[in-house]
Amino acid sequence: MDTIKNYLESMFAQLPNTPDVWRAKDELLQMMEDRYNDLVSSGKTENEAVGSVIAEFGNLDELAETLGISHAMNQKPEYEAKNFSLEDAHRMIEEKSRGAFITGIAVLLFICCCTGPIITSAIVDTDISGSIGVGIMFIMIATGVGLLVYEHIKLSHWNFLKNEPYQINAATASELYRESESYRSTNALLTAVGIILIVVCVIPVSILGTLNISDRITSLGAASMFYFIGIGVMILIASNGKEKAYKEVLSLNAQSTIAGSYVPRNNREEQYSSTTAAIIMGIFWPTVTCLYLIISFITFDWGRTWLIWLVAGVIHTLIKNIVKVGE
Amino acid sequence: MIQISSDVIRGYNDTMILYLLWDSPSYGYEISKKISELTQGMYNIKETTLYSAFKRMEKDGLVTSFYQSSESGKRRTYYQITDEGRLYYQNKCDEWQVTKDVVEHFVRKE
Repeated sequence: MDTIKNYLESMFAQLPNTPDVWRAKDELLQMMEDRYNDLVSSGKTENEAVGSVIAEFGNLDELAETLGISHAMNQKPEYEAKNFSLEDAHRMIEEKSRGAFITGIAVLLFICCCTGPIITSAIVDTDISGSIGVGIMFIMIATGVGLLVYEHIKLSHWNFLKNEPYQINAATASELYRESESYRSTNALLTAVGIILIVVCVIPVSILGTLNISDRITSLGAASMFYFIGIGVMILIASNGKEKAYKEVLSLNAQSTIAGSYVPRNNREEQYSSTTAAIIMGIFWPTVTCLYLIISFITFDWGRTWLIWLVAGVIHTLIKNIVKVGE
Repeated sequence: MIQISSDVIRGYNDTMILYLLWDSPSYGYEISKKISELTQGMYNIKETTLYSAFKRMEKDGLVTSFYQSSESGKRRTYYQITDEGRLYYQNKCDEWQVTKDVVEHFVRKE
C-alpha cells in the first residue's frame, strides 16, 4: 500500500498546490486503495496487486485540462532539484540542534560574564580580586566568541542547501513532519522551563535582600539572577534550534507544489498589504523585547513589567489582522 | 484479443458512467469495476480517465458529488446523476444509434 501512496505522491510532487489538485490526488488514492484491497481479497499477492493498480492508473496528462494545470504540466522545471535523503536530514538536524545548544552556552557565558567581578569582590574585596574578576569576565566573553565562531564554521558545510536546489521526497517529508510534531511537546516543555527560569530570576536576590544577612550574600544573589536568566535563555535557544532545523528541512520543497504541503504553516511567509507593514511586523517582537528589558532595568519593577508581554500580544494580533492579506 | 482504442471510446465514457449511475449513486472504483465486468474485460477504464470524466460532468452539471462513509468506515466521494445528466444520457444513446447505423453501412460482411 505504501508503494502506491509513494507512487502517487511522486506523480503529484511537482504539481501546483491547489485545492483542485489536492482533491484529485485524494480521490485517485481512494480508487487505487479500493482496487488494491479488492485485488488482495480476491487472492492476488501484494506485488501483483500493486503492479496492477499502477498499470491501471493511466496518465496524468489526462488530468491537466480538468485541473486547469495544463500550463504547469507543459512547463519544464527550470532546474532539476537534487534529492536530500532522510539520513542526511537526520544528520543535519542533529548537528544543528547541537549547534544551537553550543550557541546557547555562548549566550549563557555572555549574560553571566559580569558575574565574574560581582562574585570575586563578594568573596574577597581587594584590588587583586577585582582584577581577577575582570579577568574571568573577559575569559568568559572570549570563550563565548570562540564557541560561536567554531559552531558557525562547523555548520557552514550545510550552506549548500541554501545555494543549490534541493528537495525531499514525500516519504522523508512525512517522516520528518511526524518527528517534528512529536518533538513539539518537548520543545513546549523546555520553552516553559526556560521562561520560568527567566521569570523567577529575581526571587533569590529579593529573598536574600529581605533577609539582610550581609551585602556579600546579597551580591551573590544578584549574581545568581544572571545565571537564572542565562540558563533560561540557553534552554530557549537550544530547544528552538532543533525545531528550527526541522522547519528548515521541511521548507526545502517549493510551497507552490504538492510536495511543499509539509512546509510548516507558521514558516510560510505571511502576506502583508505593503512592505512597510511587513517591516513593522518584522521588528515588532525585537522592539517589545528591548522595551521590556529597558523599562524593567530602569524601574526594577519586574513584578509588573511582564504585563508588557500581554499588551504586546494583543497589539500584535490587532495589527496583524489589519495589515495581513487574506489567504 | 482486439484492444479497444481509447480515442474512439472516449466520447462514450460519459455515457457508460451515467448508465451505471442511473439507479443509485456510486463511487470511482465501483464504476470502474462494473465497466470491466459488463464488458467482460474488453474495456478497462483508467483511473485518471475516470476522474477527469467525473470532474468534467460535474462542471457541466450532469452529476453531483458528495462524501459518504461506507460500512467499513472508509470515506469516499460518491457521484449522483442529475436530471440534466439523464437527458444528456438519452441524447447520447440516440446519437449512438445513429452513429452505429452510419458506420454499419461501411462494415463489410463476408
